[in-house]
Amino acid sequence: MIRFESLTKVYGDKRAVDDITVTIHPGRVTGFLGPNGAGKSTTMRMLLGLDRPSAGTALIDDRRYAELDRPLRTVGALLEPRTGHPGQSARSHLLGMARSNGISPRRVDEALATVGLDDVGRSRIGTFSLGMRQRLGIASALIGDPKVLVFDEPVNGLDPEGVSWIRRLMRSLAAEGRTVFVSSHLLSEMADTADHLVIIARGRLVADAPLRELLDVTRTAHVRTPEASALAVVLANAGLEVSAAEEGLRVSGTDIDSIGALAHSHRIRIDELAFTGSSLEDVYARLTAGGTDYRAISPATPTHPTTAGQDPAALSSEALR
Amino acid sequence: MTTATPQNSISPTSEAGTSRLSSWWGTVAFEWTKLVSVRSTWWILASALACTLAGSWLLGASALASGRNGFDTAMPAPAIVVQTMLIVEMALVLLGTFAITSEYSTGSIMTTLQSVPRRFRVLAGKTVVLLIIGIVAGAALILVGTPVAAGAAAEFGRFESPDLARAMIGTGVGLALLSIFVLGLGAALRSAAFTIITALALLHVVPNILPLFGVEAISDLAQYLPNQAIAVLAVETTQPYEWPVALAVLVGWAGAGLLFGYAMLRSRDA
Repeated sequence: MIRFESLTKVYGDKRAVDDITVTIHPGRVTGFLGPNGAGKSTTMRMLLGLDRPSAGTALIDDRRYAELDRPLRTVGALLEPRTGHPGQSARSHLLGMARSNGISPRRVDEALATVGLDDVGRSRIGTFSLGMRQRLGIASALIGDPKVLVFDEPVNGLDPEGVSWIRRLMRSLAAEGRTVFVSSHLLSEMADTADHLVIIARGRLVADAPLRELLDVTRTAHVRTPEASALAVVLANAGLEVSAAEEGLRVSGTDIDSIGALAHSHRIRIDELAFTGSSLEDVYARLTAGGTDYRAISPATPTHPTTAGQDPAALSSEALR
Repeated sequence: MTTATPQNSISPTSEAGTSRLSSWWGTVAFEWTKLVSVRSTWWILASALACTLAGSWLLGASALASGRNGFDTAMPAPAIVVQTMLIVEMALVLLGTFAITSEYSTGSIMTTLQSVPRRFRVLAGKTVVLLIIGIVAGAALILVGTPVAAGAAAEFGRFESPDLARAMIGTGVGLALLSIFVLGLGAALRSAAFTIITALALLHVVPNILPLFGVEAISDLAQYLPNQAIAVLAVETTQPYEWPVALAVLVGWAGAGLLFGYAMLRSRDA
């Protein structure tokens, strides 16, 4: 289990990570999403004790990384494609890691076989392609058979076959009861892999919710009915958000599956009821809209990006529940 | 020693105490694996060997020529080899430098700190490995250089076995401590170029600058620079001080370097 408590990292006057409190649970794949520069890597580096938090803590099983005696046996991490020393062979890189944490040298060959690098174990890392280095990084993460895995952009540089391989790997690691915390900027990848999403923008937490729930909350229904005004009252009384649309109503809210039943019980005729599932891209765009550092400035965009009115926290987990 | 931990239980904190020694051993084994598995280490040691052999022959032949022309340049062959160390010590400077700066330039520092998150332990592991390599390499270079120098210098290079033992032990310990000073420097500066330039300045430039001030107190400081202390440690002498002082001086440099490196390693993000 990973726990961030008010984790904050300040560089000069920029709050790269701003008061993040979230718990990453075992047994599922938790996706960590955010635009470039949102603070994902910094958060992961603080978790692994590479960077020192300005405030707050990042804990693994209630302990800081530096307090773990043989950390590789508890946490496996892939942080960037540059793994090990280019002048070292893949085998000696993994052997060094194994020795440092009292891990059996047998694990070296097992890990190399797991990632499909057993044929090139004696080659120098400097001769590896980006995809091979990524696989070696994953082998490094797995070397201590850890129960917590942290992957920063693991699909970078992998070919399509490699991408589906790592997806299966992450799913199976989670199924074995491990904590899998994986950052990505590829939403489609997360939609297929993650059970739960943690989304940050501008260093701030904007969502911490199951993927399913995040997709549901932005689902809308279009209702075509001759009795639009009557139905609007019924639906509004049931707590749904209703707005007028062409030939009927547009409805959103957490409970939109009840529209048919509500109409039926009030004997209101419906000619068409259509649900539009919003994609993860839509959800993501809405959540991070207020937070991206790199969006194009359009005339409609307020010049003060952190105005309370458009605070992305409006769609945070509290709002979802 | 290690207890099998059930997969999902919280790691027992008691493990930390019982396995402390094996953790330290693991760190040293890790650093050893890294250093010997990188090819540059062997290139550096091979060039050190070549320089020692060539330098021993050259200085030995020079001693012979001078001696036959009536100058009193006779000295024990091991002491001739010790003179080549002014150049050969660069190998240990490079090993000390790359032991830490190459980790930053290649990104392998991430692997290192993930495996051994405690900065002190990382530095201590590297120190132990460099001590071993420095002592063995320094002693071995003197050992193989001495017959070459003795052959080249003929009757002007005669030596007794205590001369050889002193040169081997003194050079080994001296070069090892020098490399540890450089390791600390590298940990603080993180750049190979800055580290090597700073070390070179201290070894070869500062000793020549200090006397220019014309103040005796400042000139005397030069005696306490690493090169001067290594020379005292490696050859039987009482000038300008005896070997215990030389040892203390070198331990002081190494300790100061390490302290500087550790302070920077601790306070800065990786």
